[in-house]
Amino acid sequence: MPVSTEHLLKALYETLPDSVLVVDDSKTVIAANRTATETFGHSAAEILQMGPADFCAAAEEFDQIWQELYPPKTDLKRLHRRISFRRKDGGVFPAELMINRINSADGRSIGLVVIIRDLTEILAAEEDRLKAEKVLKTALASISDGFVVYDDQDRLVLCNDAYRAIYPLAAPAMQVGATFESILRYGLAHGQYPEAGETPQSREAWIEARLKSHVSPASQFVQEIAPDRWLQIEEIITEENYRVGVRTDVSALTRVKTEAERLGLIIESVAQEVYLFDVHSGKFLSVNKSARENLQYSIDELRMMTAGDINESLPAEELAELFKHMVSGDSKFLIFDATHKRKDGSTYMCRVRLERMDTRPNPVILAFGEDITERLEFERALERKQQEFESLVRSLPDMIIRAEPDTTLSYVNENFARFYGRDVDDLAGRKFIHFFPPDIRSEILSQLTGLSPEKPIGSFERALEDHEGHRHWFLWTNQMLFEDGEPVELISVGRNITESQKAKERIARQSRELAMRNDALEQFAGIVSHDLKAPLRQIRLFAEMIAEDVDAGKTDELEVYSAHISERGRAMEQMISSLLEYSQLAYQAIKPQPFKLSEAVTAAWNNLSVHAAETKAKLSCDTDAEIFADPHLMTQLFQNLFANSIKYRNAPAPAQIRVVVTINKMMTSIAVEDDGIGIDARHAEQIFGVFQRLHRDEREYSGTGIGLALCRRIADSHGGGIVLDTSFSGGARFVISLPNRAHARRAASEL
Amino acid sequence: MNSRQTSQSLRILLIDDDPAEFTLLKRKLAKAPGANIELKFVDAIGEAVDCVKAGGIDMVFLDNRLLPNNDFRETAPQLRTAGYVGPIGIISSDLSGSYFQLFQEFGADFRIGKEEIDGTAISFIVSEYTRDQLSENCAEDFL
Amino acid sequence: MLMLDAAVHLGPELELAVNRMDFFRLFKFLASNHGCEYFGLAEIPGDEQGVNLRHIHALHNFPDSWVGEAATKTFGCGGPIVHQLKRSTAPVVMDLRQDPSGLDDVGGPEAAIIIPLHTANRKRYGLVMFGDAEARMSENLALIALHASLIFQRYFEVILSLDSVCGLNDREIQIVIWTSEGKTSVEIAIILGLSEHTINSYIATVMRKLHVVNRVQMVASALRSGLIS
Repeated sequence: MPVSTEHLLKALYETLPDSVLVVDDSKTVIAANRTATETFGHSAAEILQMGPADFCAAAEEFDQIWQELYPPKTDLKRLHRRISFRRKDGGVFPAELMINRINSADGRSIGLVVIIRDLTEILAAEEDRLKAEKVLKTALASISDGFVVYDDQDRLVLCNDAYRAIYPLAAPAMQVGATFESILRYGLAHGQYPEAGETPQSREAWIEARLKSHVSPASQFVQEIAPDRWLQIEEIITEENYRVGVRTDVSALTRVKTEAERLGLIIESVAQEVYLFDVHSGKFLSVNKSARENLQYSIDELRMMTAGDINESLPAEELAELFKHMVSGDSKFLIFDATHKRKDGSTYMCRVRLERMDTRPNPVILAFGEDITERLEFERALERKQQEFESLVRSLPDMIIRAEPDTTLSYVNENFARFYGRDVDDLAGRKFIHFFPPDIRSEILSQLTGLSPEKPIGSFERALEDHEGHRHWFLWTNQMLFEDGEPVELISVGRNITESQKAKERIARQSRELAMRNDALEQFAGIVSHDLKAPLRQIRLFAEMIAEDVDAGKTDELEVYSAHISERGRAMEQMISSLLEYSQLAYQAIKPQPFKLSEAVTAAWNNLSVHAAETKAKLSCDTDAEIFADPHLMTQLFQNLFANSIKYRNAPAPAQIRVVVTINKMMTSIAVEDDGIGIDARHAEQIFGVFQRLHRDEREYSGTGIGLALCRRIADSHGGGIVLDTSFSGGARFVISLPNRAHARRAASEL
Repeated sequence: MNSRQTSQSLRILLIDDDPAEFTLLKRKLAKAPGANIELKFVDAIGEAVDCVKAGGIDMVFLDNRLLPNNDFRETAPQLRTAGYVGPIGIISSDLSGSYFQLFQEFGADFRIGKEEIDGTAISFIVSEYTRDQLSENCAEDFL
Repeated sequence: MLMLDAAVHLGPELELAVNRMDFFRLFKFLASNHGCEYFGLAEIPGDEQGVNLRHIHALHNFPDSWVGEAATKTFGCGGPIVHQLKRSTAPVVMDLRQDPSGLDDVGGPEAAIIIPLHTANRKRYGLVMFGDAEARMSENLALIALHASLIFQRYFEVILSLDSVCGLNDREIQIVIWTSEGKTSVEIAIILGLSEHTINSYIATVMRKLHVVNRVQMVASALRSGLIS
């Protein structure tokens, strides 16, 4: 059935979302649609009883409208106004009021159609929109990023304060409606974009590039707007062909990034080999250029390999063992020497330092490798040198030690250890000073502590005993090393100077002997000038006196003078023959042979028998000792000693003489003692001088004081000696020492 | 000392263990011109000490080797200890021993060889060691 | 010295001489070695004076009769010996028997060796030795002169030059100190175990060194110069 206009109108009328009221000219509502009843809450019947003013929130408002409408005017066909209405429940709502006049065919007004559109929701929506816009603006203002929108004509639509702040030099040009290019050029002209360069060409090129990226943005990019100030720019094209730009200040980020890049570059270009590999898989994550070039692999090839693949020196399981603690995280570092294998199969020695880095998600190992082929060669050369030095040190005859300043040994060479019969290793930690005899330690220590940076070297000579008890002379030269004025190490070198010391001693002994001989000679000369001259002078003077007296006719003293002369003459004869005897005996070559000591003693006693018998002297000699000496000289020696004993007996008691023999390892001692008047200890040495007289009344005795000198001469020439035992009392005791046969030759030859 | 110089004799003590030396010296002194000398003789240092203590000794001639003593270094100081402040001359047959150089240290004033002693030497010794040099020095106008 | 040592063998040793006695012995030895019984050493005055043999620096073994007024003919300024010493610096042997003026005072000796000497401080000394062996003297004149000058040089060093020496030795200082404490020479001699003569000799030396003429001045000068305190 075709829908009639009337039906259509009726349906429209009923379903219209706006309230419709039909009012006649008498201000009476004659119809209302359903929306009206629903909106106002009045039933249709109630509405028909109401005037149109009853619906308005303010009745006078409607009266005003009505006055505009009535009397009806032909020019006014409809009225559009917004007023508030009141529902049945009293609620007031804003609405849009539209009134259309209904005219009859003849043009006469017959009523009004009032349409009321409830604006409550619309107004609420509008309010929401305004509110949202405000929030957006606030938000844009509050974000630190710069935000900008250009329309499809590339004119500025909006930008936030941050955006202006970011481009402060270009900001004056940022007026709504200004084009992007104009703002850009303004900024460039005012130095906003240092990256554009200074020349017109570079600036034009920059503008071009910038516009290009603006028109068709590819991805975000970073722009430098001031030294050390970078912006990240992101531009998006909207569906409306608007360009929305966001500027983010990434200066800090950029800085970090450039540093990291720089660091990356350094690691990449450093001469050391740098590897980064996964802890668990062992796979290389990164390998620097130096390592790649040495290994001859590309980074892509290496990423497919593990650390084990380049290690030639260790089998996989050993390497795994080595890495165990690194993998487990128990140890953070590992240093070892490895042989790395190149792609071409050749190898090189590499000292690798591994460090575990607990990065997330997977811990990695950073490895630094150093090709130590050259270093190894250098070290080997050094080691060779060291060995050469060591062998040199070993072959040196000197003892060499190094020690702490308190003489705690840190190094000794073999000579030192051997000297003390120990192992080199046993001696470290001991004290150098303890290898010296206790009595000289303090002296040595004080010398060592006396060393100073100004005078760091000192030396001393000491005899030391080796572990077998042999004595050796050493010249120790001590050098203290100093650091900042503090002693840090002592280096001592001990040179065995036994031989030179022996030579020195030999020379010293020879000089002593020479001096003794010179003394003897001088003494001899002294004897000649004194002991012989004295009597001669007296003889001459007495002779002169006799001559004078004779001249003067004096005779009373002639006898005395001539007695003096003859006495002095006799003394001189005695002296001269003694000297002759002495020189004959003293410098006679000795002819040593083994014989019984008692033979020489007996022979000597027999020579003195007359004298001994006269004085009733007694000799006791109970020895069967055999000596190795010249029998004739030994007889002379004993004869002199016995004669001495008899001469200086404690008269009137007869001399009692005893010979006692003591045989030691090297020497035989023969003591000859008597019970005579003894000899003052003060003269213990003098008595052995030629013509030494100790007693004024000596002239009364035979003998000339040459006897003991002769005894000494004989004992000396046998390599022995004779001394007066000064501890002996109750007489004189001479002790003769003679070397035993084994030593006799050497002792004699040394003389 | 002036009094001694003008007095009749100068007393010299000879200390020597050989009496013959006394005989000899006495004869020499007799020949020394212009000196009136009285010579005393002792043969041991002990007696000499007693002698100087007794006083009246103007000069001492001391034999170097006076047995049983060693040499003048043992004997001369004994005289000094005894308070003797007169001149001491060491006489010896041989002055060559190097210890002679120290004679002044041991209180001796001069040394002379026995064979050097004659009349003129004695005269010189007497004039040199009895001259009161100090008062003369004081009186003289020096260089 | 070598020559001297060789020539004066067994005689007093030059280097060992320490006092006037030692120099007396040296000169006497030199003289007797060349046949001269007497010798005399004295300063030759520059003016018209004779030689003063009594001077503290003179050394001689002349008999008393030669010294003093009686011997003016010999040692006076007009005498031939002094005349020779003043006229010449060369050593000569003078034959006394032929000398017209004669030497009556001396008598006896037939010849004299006359040796002019000089100190480092330009004083003139003369050494005269009298003997009988004129011929032997002439032969050995150069050697004698050399020895004489060597001995004299030493005499100057040890004895004469003290006048110009500064500073006192330990012994001298000791004695000055004792003197400053009022000790007499005899007391000091007893204290130090020396003879009075030696003490006086030291004092004389100190006075010469300090250029003073008595003990009071000596002590004062030593105090002033800080030698003692």
